[in-house]
Formats: sequence, structure tokens, C-alpha cells
Amino acid sequence: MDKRNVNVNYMKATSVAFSSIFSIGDTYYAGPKSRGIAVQKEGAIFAQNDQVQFRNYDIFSRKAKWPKQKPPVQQRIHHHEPAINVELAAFTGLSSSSICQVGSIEKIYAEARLKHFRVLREDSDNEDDNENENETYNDEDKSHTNQ
Amino acid sequence: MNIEVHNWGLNVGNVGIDNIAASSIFLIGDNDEIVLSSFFDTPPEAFTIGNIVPLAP
Repeated sequence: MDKRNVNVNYMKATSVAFSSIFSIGDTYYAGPKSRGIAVQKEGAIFAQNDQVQFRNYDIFSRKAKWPKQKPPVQQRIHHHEPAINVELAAFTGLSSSSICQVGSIEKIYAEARLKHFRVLREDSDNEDDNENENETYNDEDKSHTNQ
Repeated sequence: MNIEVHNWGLNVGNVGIDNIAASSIFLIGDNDEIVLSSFFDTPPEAFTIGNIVPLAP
């Protein structure tokens, strides 16, 4: 497939972080993958115990269900204009293996895996029984009650 | 399957985006094939049941 040109007059980006790509030009293949664990904790005091590992959660290892094969499509594309025109494109943040591209990408296979934790302070009534403190970040084969 | 596509012209004024995250793609241009997968696990407290902001009568 022949690709159109792209004319962008003005672009404005504030932040490009965590293996993200801001790209001008053509690409044949892009396969970004990102995985992250977000720990949000009441009180925001983080200790050794809060350093959770990817390997403990099967969301990061289970297989994604990719489409087995693409259906046969005969497509004919007619570009009646040689270019795409954009006056202004602006974004604040580009994060976690994301891509902002001005130009074509032939093939894209992207994958994201994210796990959230929310750790709340214990009730003042229960302050005596701190025994389950180490079970805050349970493995997935146990329970989800403390997550 | 047979499809015929006519790109008569594409002219855009302004695009404004807050955030592009988690292997997402913002593409100004042409593309042949795109396959995306996402796993997301969030704690049950993150979901709110019902309206938290009362709707105006």
C-alpha cells in the first residue's frame, strides 16, 4: 500500500517518559510492550515490603489471546489527496511504551499489562492485630481481599 | 472479503490529548495492520456503584 505524506504545522509535547517514542518519519514495524504495577498507598510511606515483584502475579505471565490469523481481505485503497494535513497536534504526556508518530506505520503489535494496588490504613480499632501486614500484596492464587 | 477505500482528503485543525499511556499509539498517517492487547487489574474499591455526583433535577 502506498502511503500518504503528512503535513503537521505545529506540534506541542510536554513529557515523553518511560520508553515512549515520539517519532517523525515512516516505520515498518512497531511492537511496544509495557508492564507496570501501581501501588497507591494511604499515607504514602513506602518500605521494603512495598517493592512488589512482577513474577508474583500471573497477569504478567499469562498468554494474551492474539487473533490466530488475519482473514483474507482484498482491499484497494485510492488516495485522492497526496497528503494528510494537520494544523496543530498537542499532548501533555506520553508514557509507558507509547508511540506518537507523524508518518506511517505498516504493522503494530502492542501489549500492555497493568496491575493496581490500593493500600489503605488499618482502622484504629484493629491496630492491635498487625499480623496480616505481610499479606498486603497477595499472590493471585490466594485471595484478592487485601488488594 | 473485498473492500474498496477512497481517501478523499483529510484536513484536521487542532488535536488535543491529555495522556497517551500503556503501549498506546497516536498515529498521524497510514497503517496496514494493528493488533492490540491489554490486561488491566484494579482493586474492587476503585469501582463506584451508582452516581457519586448527584445529577441535576
